Amino acid sequence: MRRLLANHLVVATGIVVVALSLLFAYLRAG
Amino acid sequence: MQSHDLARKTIWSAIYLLFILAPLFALLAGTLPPARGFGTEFSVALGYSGLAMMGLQFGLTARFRHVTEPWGEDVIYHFHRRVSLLAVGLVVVHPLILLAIGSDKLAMPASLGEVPWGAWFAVLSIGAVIVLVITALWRKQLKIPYELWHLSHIALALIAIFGGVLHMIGWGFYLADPLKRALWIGMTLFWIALLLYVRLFKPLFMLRRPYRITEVRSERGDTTTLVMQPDGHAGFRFKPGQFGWLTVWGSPFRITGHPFSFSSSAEAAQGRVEMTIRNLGDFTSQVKTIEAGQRVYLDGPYGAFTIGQPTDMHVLIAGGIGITPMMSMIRTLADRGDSRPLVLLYGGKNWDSLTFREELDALQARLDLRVVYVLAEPPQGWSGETGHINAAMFRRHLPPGYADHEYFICGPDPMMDAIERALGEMDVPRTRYHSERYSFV
Repeated sequence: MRRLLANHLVVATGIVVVALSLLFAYLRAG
Repeated sequence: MQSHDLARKTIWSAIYLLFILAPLFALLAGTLPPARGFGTEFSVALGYSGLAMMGLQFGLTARFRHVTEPWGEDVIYHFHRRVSLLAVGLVVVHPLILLAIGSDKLAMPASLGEVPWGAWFAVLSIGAVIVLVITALWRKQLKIPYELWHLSHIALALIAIFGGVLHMIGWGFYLADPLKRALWIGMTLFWIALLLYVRLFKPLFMLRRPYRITEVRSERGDTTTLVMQPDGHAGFRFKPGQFGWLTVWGSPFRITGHPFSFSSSAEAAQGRVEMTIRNLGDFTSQVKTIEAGQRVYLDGPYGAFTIGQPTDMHVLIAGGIGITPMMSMIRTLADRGDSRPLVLLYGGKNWDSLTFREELDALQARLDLRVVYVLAEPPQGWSGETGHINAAMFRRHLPPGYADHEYFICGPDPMMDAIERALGEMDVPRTRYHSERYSFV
C-alpha cells in the first residue's frame, strides 16, 4: 500500500511533466 | 491533523513540480532563439525536466523533516527510487526523439575531433545515468558493498548532473542567454547545496552532539538493545514510533548511518534513548560487539509513524522486530498513565524469539493492554493464535467498530501487505491506519 502510494505519485509526476513538456513544445514551435 | 497533512502534502508536491518545471518555462522568457520543430522542442523539454528531476533527488534524501513527515520516510525513499527511473527515462528519450525525427543535431561529423564539447558531456551524462541505474537496481546481485555503492551513487549522480548542465551550456541554444545560463547554474548549485546539507552540515551538527552507549542489553530473539545517553548536550525529544540514523563506527561523515526505531519511552529522562536491533546480518550482526562507553552519533528523530491522534483505542500490529516502535508507544503510554484500551497483536517465529515478551506481560498491569501472540512455529500444547496475523484474528480479538480504532502496523513487507488488505476488507478507512516499513533503505 505504501509503495503503491509512492508509485502513484511517480506516475502523477510523470504525467504532469510530460504534459507540460508538450505544452512547452507547443508554445515554442506552435 | 489529516487535513493539515493533506495541505502539507499538496504544498510540497506543488513545490517539487515547480522546481522541475519553472526553470524549463523560464527558458521561454526574454529574447528567444529561432523556433525549431515541435519534436525537437519536446525532446529538449524532456531533457531539461529530466535533469531537474535528477538534481532534486538530492532533496528527497536530504532528511528534511517538514518534507518527509506528511508522507513517512519509507514513501519518500521509495518515491526517490522509482522517480529516478522516470528522470532517467526522460533524459534517455531526449536523444531518442531527435534520432526518431531524423534531427541533424545527431549527425556525426567527419571526425571525432569535430564533435562539439557539449555533445561529449551529453554522452558522459547519459553514460553515468545508465551505470547509476544498473548499480542501484542490482547492487546486491552485483555484490557491491553498501558503502562503496553509496559513494559511487553520489559520484555518478554528480557526473550525470554536471555533464547534463555542461551539455546544455555547451550546446548554447537556450542557455546562450546569460540570465538563463545563470538560472541553470544557480539550480545546479542549489542541488549541490542539498547534497552538502545532508553529507556535510548535518554530520558537522552531529559531531558536536555525540551520544555515549551506557548499556548493551541482550534481548530474546538474537536481538540487542543499545541504551544511549547524550554526551555534553540535552539530546532531542522524539515521538513514540519515530526512528533515527545511527552511526556506530567512524565519524558521522562516513556513509554508514543505519535507520532504527527508538524502542524506549519518549518520556525517558535526560535525553536517554534506546534502539533495539535484531541480528539480520550485515551491520546488525556486529551490534552485540558494541561495548558500553562507546561514542556513537544519532541523527533524528524522523518519521510520521506516531501516536497522538484522538481515538477510542490503539491497535498495534507487529511482526518480528517490528515490535520496536510499538514498544516505544506502549512504554510511553504507560509512563503517561494513558487509560485507553490497547491491543497488541504480536507475530513471531516461535515463543522463545518474542523480544520483550516478559516486559509486555508486566506492562499489562500498568495499562489496559491486551497482548495476542501469534506464532508461526508454536510449541506443543500452545492454545494461542498460530500462523500469520489476519482479518479473522482482528474479528476475534478487537471490539466491533473497527473503523473507530487507530491501527499501527510494522513488520516484514509481505505481512504488512496482507494486513493492509485485511483492514481494507474490514472497511477501516486509510486514514485510520499507519504503517511504516523498516526495510526502506
